Amino acid sequence: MKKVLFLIIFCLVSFLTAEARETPDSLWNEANAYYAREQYQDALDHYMKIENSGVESADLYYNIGNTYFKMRYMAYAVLYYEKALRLAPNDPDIAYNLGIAREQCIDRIEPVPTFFVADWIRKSHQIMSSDMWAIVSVGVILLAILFFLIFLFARGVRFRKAAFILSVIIFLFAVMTTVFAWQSRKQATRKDIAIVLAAVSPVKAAPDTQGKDLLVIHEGTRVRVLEQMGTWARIELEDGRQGWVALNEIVFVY
Amino acid sequence: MSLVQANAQGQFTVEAPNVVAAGERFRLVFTATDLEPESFNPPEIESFMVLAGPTTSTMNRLEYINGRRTQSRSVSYTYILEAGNTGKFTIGEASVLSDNVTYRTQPVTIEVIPGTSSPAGTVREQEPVSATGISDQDVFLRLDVSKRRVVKGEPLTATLKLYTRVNVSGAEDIRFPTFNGFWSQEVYAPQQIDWQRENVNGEIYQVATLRRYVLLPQQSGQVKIDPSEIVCVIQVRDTRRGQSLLDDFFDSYQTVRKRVTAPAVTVNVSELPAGAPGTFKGAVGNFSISADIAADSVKAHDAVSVYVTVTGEGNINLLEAPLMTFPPDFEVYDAKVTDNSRSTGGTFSGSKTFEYPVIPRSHGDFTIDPVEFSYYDIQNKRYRTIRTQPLKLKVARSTDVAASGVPYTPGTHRRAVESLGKDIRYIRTAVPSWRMKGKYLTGSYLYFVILALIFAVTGLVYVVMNKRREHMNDTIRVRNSKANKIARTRLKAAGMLLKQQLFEAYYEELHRALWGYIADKLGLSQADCSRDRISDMLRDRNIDKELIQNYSDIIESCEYARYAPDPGQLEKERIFEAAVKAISKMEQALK
Repeated sequence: MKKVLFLIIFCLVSFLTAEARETPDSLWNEANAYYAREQYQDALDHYMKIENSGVESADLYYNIGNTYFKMRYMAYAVLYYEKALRLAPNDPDIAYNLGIAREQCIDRIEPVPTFFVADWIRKSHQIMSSDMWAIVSVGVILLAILFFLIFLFARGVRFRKAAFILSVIIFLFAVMTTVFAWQSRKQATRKDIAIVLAAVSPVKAAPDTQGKDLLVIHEGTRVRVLEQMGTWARIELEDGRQGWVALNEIVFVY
Repeated sequence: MSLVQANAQGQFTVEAPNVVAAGERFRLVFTATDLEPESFNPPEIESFMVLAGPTTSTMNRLEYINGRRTQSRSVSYTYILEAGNTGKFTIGEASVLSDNVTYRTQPVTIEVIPGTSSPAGTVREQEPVSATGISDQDVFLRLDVSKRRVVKGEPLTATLKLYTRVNVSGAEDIRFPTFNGFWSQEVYAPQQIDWQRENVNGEIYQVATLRRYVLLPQQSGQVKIDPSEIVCVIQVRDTRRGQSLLDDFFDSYQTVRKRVTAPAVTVNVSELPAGAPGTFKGAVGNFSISADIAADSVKAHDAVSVYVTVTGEGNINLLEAPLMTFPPDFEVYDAKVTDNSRSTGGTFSGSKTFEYPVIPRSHGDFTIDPVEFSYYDIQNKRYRTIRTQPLKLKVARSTDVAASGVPYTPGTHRRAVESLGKDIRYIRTAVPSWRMKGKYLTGSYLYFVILALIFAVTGLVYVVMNKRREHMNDTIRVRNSKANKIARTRLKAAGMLLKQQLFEAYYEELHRALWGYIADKLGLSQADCSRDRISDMLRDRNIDKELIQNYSDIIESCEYARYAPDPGQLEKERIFEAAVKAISKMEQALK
């Protein structure tokens, strides 16, 4: 259903654009061929054409990240791996490459340890992407309703009893998967995560060039943007330290 | 010259000064060593006046060195010449015939410069001057470098020379130059001072080469070579004691010491240009590289040597071992370096061999990757990278471990798989399913439409099902309410039949009354009816077990009686009574 819809949109998009023969699929194959020949700049140009055409996929961001990595642009590599991870939070390859790209970056920040239950919850809704959760939740809701209808209309007391219990349990699952779908959508569209792209970026105590330098962060570092004020953003590092950086030195993942 | 070298035993050489002053007399000596000259073919001497010669003299020499006796005999032909006009003149070759072999000398070039010293005496017999008269012009020290502008690592020579016009009898307290910022090697360090004549700005000087060095600049910038110093011992005529007649006859000399210093020399060492390849390790010059392996096939765990030889000229003696990459299962030991380079003509040339002892630990066919070597080509002013051929090595299965004295036990050779390098994982190549950027199913219109659709369908199903159930309930209720009435009618009919003595019909009617009643009451179709089913359903409605059993028994006895022999009038009436009772009891129970 979803695919059909996208296909229709695609046909429209490719019909409307002048370069109708440059479909994302052909660009994708060409870019991969360039990558295999280690012509990374050409590969990147092709991948970027796909991205600019308005479609995306975790694999696309992953390949762009790899290309930037090979071109030694570590900050961009981190940025695109993060983008890929948002669409496919449970992909081990993306996580692995992101880890390696992070190792190449200058700043090593020890994240504040989180409560393990929170970790579990976070990890559990990272099992699937938001879209997958949505599909699963719709399926589970259907199942719950089916059992409830059985409970309502079936004859036989024991049969109805079993159907009722099942429908209640499945309904709980439906609620959970729906919550997960919304949660992971919220995670994937989080607008407060950014990557430092400037080679060196001073973190100020105030949103002002005259502000006192608190720390210096380098390219590739992941920060959380707490608020924005003019051309400044108040950021928080993964270890909890905060300060102000110029907005043009960071790029939001979403 | 080639003939001279062809016969190692004999030599025919010429000896003449490089520079003479006009009007000066000098000696030109041809010497045949270890030869039996039969005829001497004199050279053509046109530009010089021959005052005497050739005079032949013979010298025999007998030497015992460490008990070894060597004998040599030399014949020399000496001319005394006088220089006339100034300019450069060449004295042609002379030759001797010995044992039917002709030995020739090389032509010599003699430069004649306008005379400054007295034409009577040769410079060798210089007039000693007084101590006070020794100026810096008379004796000086100079350090010559072959190039003033070099790149880092480019070889150059430095020559320390002592120039003198006075009679220097010796030197003491020599401080040789220190070459900070250079790697230096002494290539000429004579035991005895060998005087040569040289023309310095139109003056004839006696020149002694004290040291020659080959230098390799190690740092860039203006590199200064510190001054060197020497204290010369100069013989001057003693002029103070000139009263005696004898003094005039026997020249008395005084020894004067003079400190001479060679000025500091600055060499401009420029940094190598940018863009050095990754394998560049500072080699400058012109090189070639080759690789070889001691054996084409070995057994596993046997050592084999891989040789990498760099040949050429330049700073070859400072070359570092090129980076070799061996297959992962090879144990590699430190390279053994053999340096066969010599200093020739102001640079180093020759070869340097790096021997890598390796032990392959597993069998198979291996290829050792080509060795890359980069150097800076001074002539063409660019970097060059050269590489060897890849080497192939067949490693056979080791016959057994017993060779090393260790009995083979399974499992001892197991080891963890080593990580050799770390890199990102490769890109995805399968065409992914594209999605519109930033569009998520969760929360999209589609999502809500699907949910709404689900609930709408659910509602529809509910309504339909409910309607159907109500309809069914209605029919059940009707049957339920009519059940008693129908049963009564049937019982009445059965009573009639009993009276008419139609037993078969009687039982049938009775059976139908019982069955029909319970089926109507429970809302069952005739087809669904079975005794077990009815019993179950009744039990579900918490009907007394005894009653169910009783009802069931009556139905059974009805069925039984229809096909059984006549049990008698009394029994028939008893069943009738029981059926009426059971139905009324059931009616009460099912209320």
